[in-house]
Amino acid sequence: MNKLPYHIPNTILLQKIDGESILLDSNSNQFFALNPIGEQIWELLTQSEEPAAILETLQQLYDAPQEVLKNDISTFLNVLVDRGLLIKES
Amino acid sequence: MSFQLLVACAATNSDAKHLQELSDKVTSWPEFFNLAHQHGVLPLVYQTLKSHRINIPQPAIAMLTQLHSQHVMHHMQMVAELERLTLCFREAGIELTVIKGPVLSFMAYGDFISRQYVDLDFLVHEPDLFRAAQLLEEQGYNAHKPIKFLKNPALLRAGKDASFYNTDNGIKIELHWRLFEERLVQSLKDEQLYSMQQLSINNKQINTLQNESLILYLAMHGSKHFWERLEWVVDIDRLIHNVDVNWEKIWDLACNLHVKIMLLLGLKMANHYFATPLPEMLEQEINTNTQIASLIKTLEINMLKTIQIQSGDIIGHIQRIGSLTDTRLDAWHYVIKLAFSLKTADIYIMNLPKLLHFFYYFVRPLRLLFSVLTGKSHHEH
Repeated sequence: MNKLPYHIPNTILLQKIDGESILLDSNSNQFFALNPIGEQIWELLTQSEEPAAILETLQQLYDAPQEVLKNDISTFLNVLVDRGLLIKES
Repeated sequence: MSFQLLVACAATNSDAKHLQELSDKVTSWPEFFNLAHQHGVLPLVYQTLKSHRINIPQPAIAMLTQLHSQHVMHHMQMVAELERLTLCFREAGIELTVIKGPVLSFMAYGDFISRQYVDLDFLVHEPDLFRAAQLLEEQGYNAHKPIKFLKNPALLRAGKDASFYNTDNGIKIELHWRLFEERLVQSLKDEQLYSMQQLSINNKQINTLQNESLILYLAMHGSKHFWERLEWVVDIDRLIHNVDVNWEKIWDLACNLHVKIMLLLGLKMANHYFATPLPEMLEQEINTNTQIASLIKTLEINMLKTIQIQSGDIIGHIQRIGSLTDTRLDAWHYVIKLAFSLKTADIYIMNLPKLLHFFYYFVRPLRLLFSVLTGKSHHEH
């Protein structure tokens, strides 16, 4: 089993409110709101240990070509990494 | 009418029709939200009105949503800070117990945002107190009074906590070395309350009071402040619904600490406003106690009028505390302690070495005289 090459820093706090997920980066004291798809990917990040599992779950939920989903997930994860909400394992 | 809506919003079983009827009678929503904030139940008002789709004017919705968003963001910051500081205390080898605030919110309401709180309350063992205060200063918190006083045995006897404030994040911390002043309980051993449990919150281990100690503490805390805020009653109601409680253990603890009336009053308040189920053994005690029935009536009127206890009303304060004591002896004990024991304000005037502590007893009458002459309140809760 391949572990996800990412981990969530312990300075990130998630709170769900009115169907929206709010993230707080306590290092920068910045807040971020996740849209429903972003929230699903975030949840999978906290649960899944296999990279393929995220893609597989999203494929079941959304009727989109695998390549498109793969790109979208990759883009989203890169945004999270850029903003310090996710750390990419070296 | 507004207060009835507050109670209905804080209850877990209110129906939409009843909520709508009460909401229709609100004449000023800003005043209602202010009242909700004063009673510490603004998050519950938001959640209940929203989840039951109660029809209220659009400007009121916008105002409530804004207030709630600010509340959520500040609470998230406090939770993040709690996690950070818990780690700092652990690394420094200081045993920390977190009381009230986010931890109580998590235990009683199941999340961090349903309960309204303004500070973080930390309890440490007295020998660790000064190191804990130093640690908070290192972490950017300014002490309200110089922390050198926390080495003064006279202050440790007279007080129970010290305040710290971080100007960068706007977070206030109360650092406790005990939960109540010595004069409040006759046995003076509120250490019996300090039995701890470890909770896993956000995958982090945090020490807090055991369920039984926490319920008793909340009953004592609410009673000490004469149940001015509805939030304290809701806390007890939600906690009883959400955690396992050994009632015999609570009762034994209350008997040992001479705070049976305060416990029964807290439980009866929850039962009175929210129909909280009570154990048979304590329900009997409540029903046969005339003191409780009379207190409930007084407190209900106070809460309706949102009377704030006047800090300078010393006679009224003694009478109220007297009505909460288990025996006449307990009441006299409180009065004597109140009259003759030093107060933190006496000690904060100057930090004297132990040999000169007798001097504080000369300071006190002078300070009281000055307070009377200048018209400033001298009473401390």
